[in-house]
Amino acid sequence: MNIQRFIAPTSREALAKARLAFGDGTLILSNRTTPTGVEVLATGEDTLNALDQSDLVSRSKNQPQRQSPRQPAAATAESRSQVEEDATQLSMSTLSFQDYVRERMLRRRHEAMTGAAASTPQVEAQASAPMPRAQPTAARKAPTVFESAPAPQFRPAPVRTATPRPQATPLQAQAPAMSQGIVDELHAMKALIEDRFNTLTWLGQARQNPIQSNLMLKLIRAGYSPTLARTILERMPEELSAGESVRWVMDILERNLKTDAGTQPIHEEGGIFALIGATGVGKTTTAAKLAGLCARTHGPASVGLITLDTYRVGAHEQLRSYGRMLGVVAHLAHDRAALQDLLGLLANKKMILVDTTGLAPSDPRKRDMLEVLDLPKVNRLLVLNAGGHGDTLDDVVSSFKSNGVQQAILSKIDEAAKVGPALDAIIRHQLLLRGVTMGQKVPEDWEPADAAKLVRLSMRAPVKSAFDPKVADLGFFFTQPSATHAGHLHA
Amino acid sequence: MLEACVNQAAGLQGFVLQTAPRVMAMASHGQQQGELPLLWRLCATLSDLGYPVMVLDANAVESPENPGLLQRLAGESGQGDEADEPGAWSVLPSALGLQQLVRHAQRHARPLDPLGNVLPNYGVVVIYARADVLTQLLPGSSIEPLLTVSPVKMSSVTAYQALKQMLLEAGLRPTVANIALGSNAGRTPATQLPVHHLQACAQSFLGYRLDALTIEARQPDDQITDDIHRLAMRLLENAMPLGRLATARNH
Repeated sequence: MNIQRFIAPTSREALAKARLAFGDGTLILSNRTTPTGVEVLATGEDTLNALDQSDLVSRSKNQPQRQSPRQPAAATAESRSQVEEDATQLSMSTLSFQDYVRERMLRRRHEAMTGAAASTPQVEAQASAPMPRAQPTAARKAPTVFESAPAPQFRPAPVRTATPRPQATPLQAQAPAMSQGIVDELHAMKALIEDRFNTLTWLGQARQNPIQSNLMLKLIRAGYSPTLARTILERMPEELSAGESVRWVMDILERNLKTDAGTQPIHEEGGIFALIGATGVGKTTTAAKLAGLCARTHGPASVGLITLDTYRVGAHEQLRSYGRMLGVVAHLAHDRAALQDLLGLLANKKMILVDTTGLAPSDPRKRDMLEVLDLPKVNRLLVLNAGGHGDTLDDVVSSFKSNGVQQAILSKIDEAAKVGPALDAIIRHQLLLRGVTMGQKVPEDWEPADAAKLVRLSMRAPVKSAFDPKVADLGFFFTQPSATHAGHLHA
Repeated sequence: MLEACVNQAAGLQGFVLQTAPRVMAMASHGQQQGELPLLWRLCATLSDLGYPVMVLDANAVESPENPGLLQRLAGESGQGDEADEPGAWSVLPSALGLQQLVRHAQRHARPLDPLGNVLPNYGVVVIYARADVLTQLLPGSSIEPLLTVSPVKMSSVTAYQALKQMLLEAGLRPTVANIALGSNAGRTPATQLPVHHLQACAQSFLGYRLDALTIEARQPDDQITDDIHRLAMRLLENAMPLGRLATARNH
């Protein structure tokens, strides 16, 4: 197989070199930036044809008696029709054809494995036949690899509907045990190759499309995760201009950032709300703000305040101080029964706010606290620090997740250098944003959640930061296989 | 930035009611040996919570030698002696003063408003008076007067009388506190306790289901404190801010 590496200062020159070597039928296998320039791995179509032929020849040599006389012609015809169908389905650009070729190569290899696997039962069926002693080693090796490769997504090619190999019989019993490790490795390798190919393909497309590439950089610099950025940009129509693309992306972000804009504000709607979240995110202050807003509209008698925070020194006193200013009593509940009693006592209130102890996601007390709040009509309101790191926010949202609609408040917007990570977490976890706080003033520093405003805020050109990636760094975001859930996106 | 008078809750200063005293009530029904210790503990708890407390005692009569609410209402007594130190609480003889407010109630819809003028610096004003006074002072208010049931034979009878009067004449639903003696708990069956008699009578004759908060008088101090704290918060929750007489209940 003739694969060559070409290195040049620019990709254009490297591609020219490759084309010089292989002619018009050049197939680019990979393309990456190295310290010395751009490295291109390429081969020719002839090589592939030769590979296919040699593959077929070697199979026919190994399995002369398996194929029925009618099979080769049928197989070739079916294979050709497969390619034609695939080709018509794809509107092939150069890059998509490259993908197709890569996929075909992979498919052929897997089919070779599944073909051999398919043959195994027949081998067993003929186990009673006498076996030549001369070939036990070869017979042992071949099935150990092939029989275990499942590749369910690939259709078995007719070429590989082979007759059994008589010599495989004596070592059949040992084969599964011996092959398990290799099978696992093959699976891992397959996943890795697919991921890399996908990444390379996507990067290739992104580099070919400067608008997409710039938008990707902009989203990542705004603090959005590569997972979400890629999910959005993959769906972006190609025909959009630069300005339209930006508007389209912002529109998608707005549409996917769920807020309570269509309903009453939380302090007008009322209900029982337990503020939960990590330490220091502003739960007590947020509770005081909501209590103040509700009391201002409906009077102090409309608000109930309860704290479950018996851990933090001065927590009850802090809430009580706010309560005294409002003319609202701040109650303390030690356990679930006390909370139930208090909720009964305050049943006539329009809004009851339950302040809780701030807990780290990994804190074992978190489960107990969530169990205490597991009461009918108690809505959990997750308070998220808008300035938090994306991973931290992800961790918090995942750990405080509950059934039903997840409601959240973004706190400390004014302190956040970037709100992108917080919006990203809210979008990916499908939270319903009920409001934002942007300062310490009680109750003034509260705003209803406005998706458009928040997205604009997140995309505002930030000052230069040491944490921002450069265009050349974008590749690093996609070199690691990511299992992160991109969430449901309504494009 | 660091102005002394500005804090993050400066916006709440606009709330008019934040400094208005809140009125709560305790019904006296002739069982002072049970009522007074509870009232004292309640006042101490409220003081600890940061509310300066004034008790208007309708069982004590004002006189020139012992001035009280009547003199305050007449503007004859100074107001400089109240709430001198944080956590302080005071008792004011108020029998005649409250009678004056009752007469005021017949002419005005908000009979307790004058209290706001004479006791502006207190966080909580507790009216300790007989049920008949309370029914005239607080008709239809959201206040839930505290009614104690002590482990004394006649307690259930007098408590029932007060309950019936408040419930039927003024629509007041009292908060019942049952004073229990731990050592008697084992000897006396639950059905023989005064509070049970009271509950049974209220259910049978008034059709009123009555829940009682039990306070074990012989518990360790910290547990009693918890019980009293819970009671204080409950009374505070239903207390009425002065200057805005609630005429309709929220629920």
